[in-house]
Amino acid sequence: MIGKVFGWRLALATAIAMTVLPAVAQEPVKVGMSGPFSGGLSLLGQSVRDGVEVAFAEINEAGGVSGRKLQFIAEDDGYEPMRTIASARKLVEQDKVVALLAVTGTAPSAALLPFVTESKTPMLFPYAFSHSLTTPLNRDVFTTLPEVRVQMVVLANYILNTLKQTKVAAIYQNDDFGQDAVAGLEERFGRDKIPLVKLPFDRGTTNFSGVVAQAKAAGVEHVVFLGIPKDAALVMREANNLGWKPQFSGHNALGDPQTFQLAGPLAEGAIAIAVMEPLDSDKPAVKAFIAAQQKYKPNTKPTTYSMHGYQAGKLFAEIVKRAGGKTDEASIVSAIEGMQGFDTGLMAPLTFSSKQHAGALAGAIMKAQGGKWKIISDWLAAN
Amino acid sequence: MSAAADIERAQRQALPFGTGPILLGVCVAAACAAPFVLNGYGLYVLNLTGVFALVALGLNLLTGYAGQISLCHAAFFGVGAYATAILTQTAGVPYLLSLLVGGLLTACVGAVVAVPAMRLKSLYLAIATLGFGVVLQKIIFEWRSLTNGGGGLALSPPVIGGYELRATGLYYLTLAVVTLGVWGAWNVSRGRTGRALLIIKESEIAAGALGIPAARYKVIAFAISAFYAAVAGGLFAYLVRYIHPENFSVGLSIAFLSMVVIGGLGTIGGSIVGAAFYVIVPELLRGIKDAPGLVFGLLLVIVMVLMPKGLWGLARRIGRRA
Repeated sequence: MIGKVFGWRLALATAIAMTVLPAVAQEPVKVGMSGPFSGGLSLLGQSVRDGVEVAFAEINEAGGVSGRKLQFIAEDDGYEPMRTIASARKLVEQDKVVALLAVTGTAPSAALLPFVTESKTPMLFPYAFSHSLTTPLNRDVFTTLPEVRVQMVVLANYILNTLKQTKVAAIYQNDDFGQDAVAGLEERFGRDKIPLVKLPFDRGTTNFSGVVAQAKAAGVEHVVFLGIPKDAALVMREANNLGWKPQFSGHNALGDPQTFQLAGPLAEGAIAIAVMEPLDSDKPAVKAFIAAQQKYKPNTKPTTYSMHGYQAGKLFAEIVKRAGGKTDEASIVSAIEGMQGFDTGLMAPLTFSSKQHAGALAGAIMKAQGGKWKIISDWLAAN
Repeated sequence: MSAAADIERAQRQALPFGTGPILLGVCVAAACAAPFVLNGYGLYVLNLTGVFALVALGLNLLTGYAGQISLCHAAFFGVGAYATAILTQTAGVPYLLSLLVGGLLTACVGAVVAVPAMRLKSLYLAIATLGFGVVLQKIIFEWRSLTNGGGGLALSPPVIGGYELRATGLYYLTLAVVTLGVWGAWNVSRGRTGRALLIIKESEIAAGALGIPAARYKVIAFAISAFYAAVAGGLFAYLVRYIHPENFSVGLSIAFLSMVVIGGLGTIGGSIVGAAFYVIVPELLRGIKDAPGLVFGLLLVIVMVLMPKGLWGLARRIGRRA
């Protein structure tokens, strides 16, 4: 009698254990992000976050990765590095995330370097274009977006080899970004011993008549503009007022639909570097991304930022899959370092190794045609 | 409250024996025990509070006591951060010494800012200091050979006496410096300088009639206040270990002023409460979009309307009633 009751209990206990245990084994993989969701750059941060959320929703609906669901925790830092550190510490120490994904902003992600290095937390695919994230190599930091110097080498190759233009001026924002970009251009021009006319302007200025007149007086046929699209539009207008029509080009920021709103038909024919596919591309991966965002986050708009977030989310799932569902630091790092020519369909194929943590040293040439940016080249490597 | 009452209060501000020291003791004990209770995140937030409390202590001497508005304290904070970082990292000066030298250097800068302050008042002074802050920030940005400009400056952990300071060590250092800072501010506010500053705030003519050289005391107030901000900056630099010129913008100066006003103008406890409010409340409100800014803004309004003496004034009133 007693044995019978006991046996019944044992069976029940076994049954409970069998239903509970798999649930324990399928604990979700927690991933964290810090970005500006409040303040002046909130649109950028929210967009990147939306992208990751769309990717994770899509992956989880299809059953997760290696039987595990992905859980995403995003924290606001208002683009203040000291708050980014607080966010990251909360995510890693309190929420126990296995990695930081798509941290948004150059200064915020640079501020995280000491913390991620010491806590051995993988910091994957930040939305940042800075040199210092992957040079010198950080064991736990991986990027997909090519830094501006790489973009400029791609652009200079195109100007010199394909367009065969040699009278070139760079009108650039006189700050760290602009100087970094010009250094990239100069290095490539210097190799062919071709001079580059350098015309700096201060950030925040609205009067470009001086630099444009100088460029025209220098007899230049091609103007590389390095700044925000609003200023690019002002420069194009200024040149137009002088009745001057040089070839315009710029880094990835110029290749934004915004440029057409600001410069109108004057933007036609301009060239920009594409670091990812444009939103109106016919590539199936882009169409799938836009459909996914419309499905899972119908109240948000697909942007180039959310495309980056989406790709980061998809890449993370791929990494966990390659690591066989393991999410410790060593497994994640070695899974990424094993990626060779991995094509997301949204940008140049990504290649990582133990010596190279910048996944894409390539960009493509985009041209403004009929109010749209069209990619007119393959993905071109920067070397 | 009239100047006379303020000055009288300043003279006999010693807490009534009993609850005051006990409360203080509990706070100090809790602060010392924090690293054993909190995780790295909590400790970081507390450390940041300490750093900002130090700035607020200094700014309160200038704004709360002497009635001089400064919108360049973020720049003092930044100069201190860069001076300490460059002295330690590039010149190889021991960390504690470079904290002190950075502070003294910035105190000189503060004294220079005070020169226009001798002639300007209220809004005009605010605008002049605003300009000065922008200039200092621009200098940090443009002096690339020294500061690495917009690339920012990454720092390795500081070393004191062969011992590498990690989160806990740095926290205790901040705690020690804040304690010193409270002690210093306490002495300044109760001494000759504090009383002179209170009269200057009320009426410079009256101060002059009493034979108080207003100009000299304003310079002293600016210098002390800049010293506090700079030492805090030196601690901040090694807490975050990555400093960037854009960290030290006018927005941060306004945040410092808000801390002082929210906490309580002209009180030492208010500086600490204000800093704690500024750092900890947004952390507690994580996840609610735009809430930190909204709550902060609303509270500023509420404090200004309902609590002329800030959070600290309210706490004291409740304390007295209990």
